[in-house]
Amino acid sequence: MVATTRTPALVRRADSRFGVFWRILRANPLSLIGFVLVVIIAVTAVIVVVAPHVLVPYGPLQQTADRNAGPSWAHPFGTDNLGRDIYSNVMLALPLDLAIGLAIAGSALLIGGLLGLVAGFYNTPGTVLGGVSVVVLRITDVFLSFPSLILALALTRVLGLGVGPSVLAITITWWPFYVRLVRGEVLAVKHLPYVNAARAAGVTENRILLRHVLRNILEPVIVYFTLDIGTVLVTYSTIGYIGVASIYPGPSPEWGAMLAYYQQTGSANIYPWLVLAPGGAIFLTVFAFSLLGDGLRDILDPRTRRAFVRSSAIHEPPAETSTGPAAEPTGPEPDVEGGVPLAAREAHPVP
Amino acid sequence: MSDPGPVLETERLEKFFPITRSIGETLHRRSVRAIHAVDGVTISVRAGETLGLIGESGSGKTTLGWLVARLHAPTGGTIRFDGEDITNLKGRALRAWRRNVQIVFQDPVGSLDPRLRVWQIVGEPIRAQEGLPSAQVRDAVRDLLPTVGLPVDCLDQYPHEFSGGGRQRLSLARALSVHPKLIILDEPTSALDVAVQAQILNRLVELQRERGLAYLLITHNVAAVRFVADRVAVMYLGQIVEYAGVRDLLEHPVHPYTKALLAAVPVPDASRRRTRYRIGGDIPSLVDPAPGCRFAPRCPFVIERCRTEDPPLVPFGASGRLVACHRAEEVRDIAPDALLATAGPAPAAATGSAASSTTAS
Amino acid sequence: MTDPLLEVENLEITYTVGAGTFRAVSDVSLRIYPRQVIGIVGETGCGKSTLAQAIPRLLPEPPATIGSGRIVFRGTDLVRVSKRQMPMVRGTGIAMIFQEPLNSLNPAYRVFDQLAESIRIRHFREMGWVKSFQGGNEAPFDYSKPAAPATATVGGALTRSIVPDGALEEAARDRLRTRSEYRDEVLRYLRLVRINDPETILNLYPHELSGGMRQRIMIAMALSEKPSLLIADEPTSALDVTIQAQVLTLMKELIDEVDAAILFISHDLGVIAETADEVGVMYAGRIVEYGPVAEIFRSPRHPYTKALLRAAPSRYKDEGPLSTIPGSVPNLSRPPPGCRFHPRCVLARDVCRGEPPPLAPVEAGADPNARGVHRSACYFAAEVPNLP
Repeated sequence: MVATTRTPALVRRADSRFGVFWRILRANPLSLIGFVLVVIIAVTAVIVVVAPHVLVPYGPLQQTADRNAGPSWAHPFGTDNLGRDIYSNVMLALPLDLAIGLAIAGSALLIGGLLGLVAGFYNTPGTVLGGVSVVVLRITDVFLSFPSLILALALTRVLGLGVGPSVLAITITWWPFYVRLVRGEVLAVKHLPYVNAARAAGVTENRILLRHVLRNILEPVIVYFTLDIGTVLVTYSTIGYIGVASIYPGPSPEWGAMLAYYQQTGSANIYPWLVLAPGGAIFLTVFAFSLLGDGLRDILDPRTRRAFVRSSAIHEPPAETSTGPAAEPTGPEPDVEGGVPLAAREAHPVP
Repeated sequence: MSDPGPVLETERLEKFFPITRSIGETLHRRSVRAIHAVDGVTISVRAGETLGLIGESGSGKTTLGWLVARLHAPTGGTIRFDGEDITNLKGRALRAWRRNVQIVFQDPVGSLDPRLRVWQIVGEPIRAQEGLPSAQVRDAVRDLLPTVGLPVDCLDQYPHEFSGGGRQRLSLARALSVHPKLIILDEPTSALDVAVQAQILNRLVELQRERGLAYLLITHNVAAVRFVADRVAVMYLGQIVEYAGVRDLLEHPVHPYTKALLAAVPVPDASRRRTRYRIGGDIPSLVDPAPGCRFAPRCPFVIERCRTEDPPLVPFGASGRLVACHRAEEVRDIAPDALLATAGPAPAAATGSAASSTTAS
Repeated sequence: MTDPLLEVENLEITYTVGAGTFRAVSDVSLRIYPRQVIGIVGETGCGKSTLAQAIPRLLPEPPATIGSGRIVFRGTDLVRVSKRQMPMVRGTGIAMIFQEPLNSLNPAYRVFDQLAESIRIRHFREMGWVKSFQGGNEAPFDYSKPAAPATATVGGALTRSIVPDGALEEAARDRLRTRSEYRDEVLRYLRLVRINDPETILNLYPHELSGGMRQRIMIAMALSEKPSLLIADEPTSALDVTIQAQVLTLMKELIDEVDAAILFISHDLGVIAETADEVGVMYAGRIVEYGPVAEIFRSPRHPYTKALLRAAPSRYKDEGPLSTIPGSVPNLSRPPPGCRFHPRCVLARDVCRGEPPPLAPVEAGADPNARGVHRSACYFAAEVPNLP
C-alpha cells in the first residue's frame, strides 16, 4: 500500500487483485475446494499426457494376472475380467474427457458468443445488421426448441460414429444457449450511461462493443461457461454411454464408454468398482467445476468483491484544516437496501 | 467587440419516439402513435453563459440535452452549433464534431465503465478524438485531474473506489478533456449529498469563468439553478412554457406551471408545517398529446380557451422573457405562495374522511 | 403524562462485511410519543435508514447485529423478541413506508389484492384467529440474567388474545368476508389517501401507475393495518417535485386525522421542516442534535447542523461561492476518536478527540428527559450561533 508523500495519507492504493481473490476464496471454503480440485484435475491431465508413466502403471488394454480383483494397493480401482487395470483406464480417459468438455463448451462459447454480441448490439431495426440479428435470433429459437440431447443423437446419426463427429454434434446443439446468454447481457449493458458517454466522446460503435460492452459481460459468461463444462461432460458421457462415441475397450478409453461396457456386460452387478470408478470420475470432475463456477461468481461480482477490498481511496480535495488526522477515506457502504424484504407486512398463514 | 453569435441554437426542435403496434405499421414505417418527447423547442446558449432547463419527469429536458449532444437524431427542427447546421451529421463527421460538446450524466455509478481505470475513462475522449498513444493520454489526464480537485495519483484506480462526489468529478474531468465549448450537465448533483453538491457547483462556476465554457444545466434543483445559470427555460411535457433570466423567473414567475413548481419546492422553514399544496393531478402521458395547453388539466387559472388553443411562446414584458400562456397578463402578479393553502390549527378543517379512520370490524 | 410509544435507548448496530465491521449506529437514543411526528435528517451513510429499519427488526441480521441497547415499543423490548414473533408486532404495531414504491409493491398483484390482503390480515388479528401483539408493562429486561428469557418475558404477552372469551365462537361464525365487503374497505382507504375515483385503479398493476399513485397506495396499505407507529423512510425522495408536494400535503393531513405517530426519515431539510414536530440530526451513526423543528432551523447548536443548513444554495439570495464542509464523511469501520465530526469541524479542539460529547441540553439546567428539549452533542454548542 503506497501513501503519497505529499499529503498525509490522502490516497491509499487499494488491495491488489490477487489479495482480494485470495481473501474471497478463503471466506468461501467450498469454492476453495472447487478451485483446488480443478487445479489438481488439470495438472493430472497434463501429466498423463506428457509423462504417462508417472501416474499410469498399466496400458489400457494390458491384461494382468489379477482378474476381477477388488481395489487394492496394486490396483486402486480393481481390475476387470481380463485383468485390465481400471485405474489406468480412468486416468487415461481424463485428458480426453476434459479436452472434449473444454472443446465443446469453448467452441459453443466462441460461435454463440460472437453471434450474441452482434445480435444484441447491432439490432436497430431497418439496418442490414439489424436484419441479420433478427435472423440469428430466429435460428437460435429453432435450435433451442429441440431437447439438446435428442438433437445431438440425431446429428450423430448423420455425422457418423466416433469422437470427432460426436464433438461436432454436441457443439452444434450447444451454441444457441450462448447466443441467448450473451445477447441478454449485451442488452443490459448497452443502455448504461457509460456507453453513451463513450459515444459522446466520439468512439466508433465497433470500438464501444469491444472495449466497453465485451469487458462488462465477461463475468456472467465466464461463470456460465465454467458451470457448463460439467454439463457438457455429462452430455458427452451420455452419448458415449449409448455407444456412438468412443470404443471401449480400446486404446483410448472414455468414462462414458467404460460405464456402458461394464454395465451392459453385466459385470457391474458383481463387481461394482467397475462402474463406480468411471462414474465417480465424472461426478468429481463435474462437481469440481460447479464449485469453481459458484466461487467465481462471488469473486467476479463487483459488489461482493468490494466488500473484501480492504481500503478504498477517493477523495474530496485535501482538507484545509490541519487539526486532527486528515480526512479518512470513505469505506464501502453496507448494502442495506438489498437485504430488506418487501413491505413491512408479512402474510400470516391462517391457522 | 464583435458578437460571435450563440454557441448553440435550436429551432423548433422535435423528437418523437414512435410506438409501433403491429407488423403492418412497422413495415409501412408509418406509426399511428408517438411519444412527443420534445415538441418544438427553440433555445440558444452563448459562450460563457449557462442556460438552465428546469422540469419534472416527462418534461423532455433530458431528451433535449441528448439531442443537443446528438446522442439522438432529431425527428424535426434544426440544431446549429457555432453557426453550422449539425442536425443531420452522421458517421465520421459527427464523431469529429463531438469534441465540441460533452455531457456529464446524472448517475455517478453508471456513467463510468467499472472495468476501466481512471486514466482510461477520463482519457477516452482524447484518445478517440486525437488518437494519442497511452503514455500521452496518461500525461494529459494527470494534468487534468487537479482542475477537478482530484489527486494525481489516482490514475490507476477504479471507479468503485471513489465516492459519489469523486465519480462526478471524474465525469467532469472526462468532459473537460477535449476542451469542449459546451458542456451538458444532466442533473449533475442530484445523486449527491448537500455538502458535496456545494463543492461540485462551486467548481463548475469557477471552471466556467476560467475557460469561458457554455453550460446547459438540466436539473430540478431550483436553488442550484439560481447559483449557476444566467437564463432558465421551464419545460413541461416537451415544450418550453417560460423562458427568462434566472432572477426574474425565480422572483416573479409568470406561467402558472412555474408558479406551481416553485411553490412545491420544500423550504427549510418550520412555518411551512401548516401549508397545503393545492395543485393536484399527475403528470399526463406524452403519447399524442391533445390540442390546447398541456398544463390545462391541472392549471388553477384555466379557462375554456386553454383547452382548445395551444398557447404560443411569445415575448412578455421587457428583458427578453418568453411565456406560453393565454392568461399571462392576468396571472402575472400572483405569487407562487398563493398556490399554497394554510390549514387552520384545528383538525376539524379536515373533510369527512376523518371518520373513516375508526373502523368497525 | 403519557408514556412514550417507542423508546430507543443507547442502540448500537454494527455491520460485519468481509473486510471489517462498520459501526453504523452508535449510542442512539430516541423517544416518540403518540401522535408525534419525529424527523431524522442526515446525509448518505449517516445511519438513518439503518436506524429506521432496525426498529421493526427489518435489518438482515447476519450482516447486521444489534450490539446493545433497547428498542422499547409499548413496553416490550423488541431487541429481545425472537425473529419468529416479530411479524406480530409489525402488523398492528409498526408499519413502514419505503422510498421506492415500485420495489415495495408486489408487481404481480393488482392494487385491490394488495390492499385487501393487509386489511384481511388485520381482520384476522382482530378476530383473534392470529396471535396478536399485546404490549404489557413488563419490567425492564435484566441483561445480567442468562439467555433464553425471550419467550418467558414476551411469549405470554404475545399469546394473550385480545378477544374476550366467548366472542371467539361468535366471531368464527362470521366467516371470511366476501370479496365485495373487502372492496368497500379498500375503496375507503384509497379515498383516505385522496385518490379520486378509486374504482378505476383497483384492477391495475403497480407498473401501470405513476410514482405518486404508488406511494399513496403504500401509505394506504400501511394505514390499513392501523399502526400506532408509522415509519416513513424517505417516502418522497423518488418523486417529482410537484408530486412530492402533493404527497407531503397528504401526510400532513393524515397526521391530523389518523391516530399514529410518525418517524420520518429524510435527507432533505425542507421536507423535514414541513412535516416534523421534532427533528434529530444524524452524523456518522450518532444523533448530534435534537430538538423542536423551529428551533433547530432557526438557531442550530451543532457545527454540523449549521454547516448543513448553510451549504444548500438559496433560491432567493445571490451569494458568492457556496460554503462547503471540508473533508468527507468518515469511514465507519475506523471512526475518528471522540466526536466523529471533529476532523471537519471549525470549532474542534483537543477535548473533542477524547470522550465523545453527550447529547446534552443546550440550556443549562434543563431536564434532558423532558419532551421538546433542544439538545446538542457538542462541547462548544454555545459558540455555534457565533459562526458565520
